[in-house]
Amino acid sequence: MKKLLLLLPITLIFLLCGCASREIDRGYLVSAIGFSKEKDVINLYIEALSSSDTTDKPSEKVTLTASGTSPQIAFENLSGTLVKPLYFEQLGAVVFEKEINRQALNFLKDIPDINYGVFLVKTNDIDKLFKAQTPNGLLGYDIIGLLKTNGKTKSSLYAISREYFDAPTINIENGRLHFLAKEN
Amino acid sequence: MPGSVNDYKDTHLSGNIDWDIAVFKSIFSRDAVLRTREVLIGGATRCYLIYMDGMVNSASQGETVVEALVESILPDGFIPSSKYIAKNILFANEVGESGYMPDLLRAILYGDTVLISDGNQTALTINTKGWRTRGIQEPTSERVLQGPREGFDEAAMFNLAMIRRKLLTPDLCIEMLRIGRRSDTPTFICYLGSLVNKDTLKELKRRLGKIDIDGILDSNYIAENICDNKYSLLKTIGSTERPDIVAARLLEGRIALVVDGTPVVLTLPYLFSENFQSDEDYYINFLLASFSRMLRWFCFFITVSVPGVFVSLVTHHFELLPTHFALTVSRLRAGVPIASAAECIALILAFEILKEAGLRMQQNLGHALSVVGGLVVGQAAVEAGIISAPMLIAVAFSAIAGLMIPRLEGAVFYWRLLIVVVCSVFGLWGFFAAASIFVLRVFGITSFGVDYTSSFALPRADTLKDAFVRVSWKDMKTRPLFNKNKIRKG
Repeated sequence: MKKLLLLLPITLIFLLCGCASREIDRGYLVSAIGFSKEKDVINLYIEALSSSDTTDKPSEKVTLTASGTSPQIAFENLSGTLVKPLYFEQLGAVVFEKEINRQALNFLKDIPDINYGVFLVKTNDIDKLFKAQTPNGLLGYDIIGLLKTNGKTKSSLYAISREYFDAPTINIENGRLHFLAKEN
Repeated sequence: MPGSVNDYKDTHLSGNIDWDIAVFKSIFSRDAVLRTREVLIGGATRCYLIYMDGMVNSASQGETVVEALVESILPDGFIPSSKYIAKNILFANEVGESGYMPDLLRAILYGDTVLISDGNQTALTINTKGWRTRGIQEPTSERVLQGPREGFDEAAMFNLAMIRRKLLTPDLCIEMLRIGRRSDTPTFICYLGSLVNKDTLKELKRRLGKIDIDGILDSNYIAENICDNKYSLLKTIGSTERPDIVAARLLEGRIALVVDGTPVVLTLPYLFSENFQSDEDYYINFLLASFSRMLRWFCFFITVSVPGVFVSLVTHHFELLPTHFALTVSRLRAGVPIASAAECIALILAFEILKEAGLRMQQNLGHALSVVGGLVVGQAAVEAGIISAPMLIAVAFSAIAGLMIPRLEGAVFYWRLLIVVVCSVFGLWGFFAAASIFVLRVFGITSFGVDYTSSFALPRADTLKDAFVRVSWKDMKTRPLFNKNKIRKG
């Protein structure tokens, strides 16, 4: 009995030191993820927020990129260079260059923390989109805002993975997001 | 060396006054406040008054006993019996007769004067109690804005009188027993004979009879000895310092336990819903009282769950946080060196420390403590990055909500901590598991054979009338379910 009681403080110390759980400020909060394909190479783009070390500094936006023969390999190549984990719970939008990539969709579905309500969009130049400064600073949430404002909210991961219909195309010009002309 | 008055159960008065007074003196040989005074009855018969200094009313004793004895006139050669003295000489209101030593010792120790006279094998116990008491004050822990303001004090007899003043009926039964080998504390069981559940009364007496303890200094000594489960965080015996509450409980068929030496009176059986009742609920408009009561239930949920749920949200379920809130929490937690769960537990403990310090310190320092502890230290800790502002807000909100239900104070503290630990490991799954265990636990508790949750036993309006809300007195027609005499009013 006494030995069992000793286990209690040991377990508590283990739990309370944070080893057993994640912390919201100790990872990258991913807001947008993008995929493009060039021949057999998949390029992965991730836009995320990284908390600063002190509360008086604002969180910093980072754009991470990696490549691989498949989305999984690209992601592994990216993860290997990161000092903090990626949290996908607050992912706002998934961007594909030109067309929706089946491989990428399957990869997304394998991420356990991903929200199936995340919006899917296409773009003509993904590199330009991820490197541009969007109106509110975060591409993922600005895309959500644009879709909601224009009532184009059907293209969620859940809907597309079930019915596979096309996603709207969004481009950026002079720091402003807009739909492809024919879709307007 | 004997330790209890019951150790003298084989001793009786001999009728030889010198021998008997020597026995008393030997019993109290180490007691410096025992007083013995020799008086001649009618100038002839020797008698002794035995009493404890400071426990008798000297003026009353002088007028009703000493003066009466000294000024009495007896026929020559007549040796008065104890009965004769009681009937014809003493002016005192309450006089008893006994030759049994434990009875006489109890009388002396309880502020009475014992009169032994030459040639008598029985002595008189004269009520001359005159110790000082605190007097009637409003209980600090049960203040009301509207309603009676009187509270019990430490003298059981006065407390019983206050209860009786509320219930002017011969149906009010008061049974006395003494508990504590050495303290021999007078304890009174009060109930209304026509309303009490006989099984509960029998069970209470059985449990009281099993108490074997040196002394009873407060009613909690008894409560912990007779409660259904000593490890239960939820109390199954009620306590109050207000006579109006005791009277109300008795009218519901409950039993009250008045213990001498403490203003806290126990009431039983005790139901879970009583934790959410306030004394004032019954003295204000029922609609206002119902709103307050629902607020208390809500605050119970808040105080137990908010810290745990917040920890699970910031460690397991980021997806449930609105995006802007998640970003804000993430930014405000930046640089905090400890894990969220540890931070939360540290804040809960800090609040308990502040609360405990506030209770024990001088009253006029209370404001200074709240300013320094709550504002200055809290603000400094956030600015220094030791704790995060959102966690401080969550714990503070939970702590303030907990103050709404003081009767569940201890239980809430432990449940809050447990839920934080479980949530930090299992997230919201852990929260729901802990909540389910709590509900199952509460529904499994009994108080003296009565289901703890019997207020919610049936989905009928008359069983819920005093649980989540308080219906109008016009509709409060039945007593609680455990009472066999259910009709409260026509």
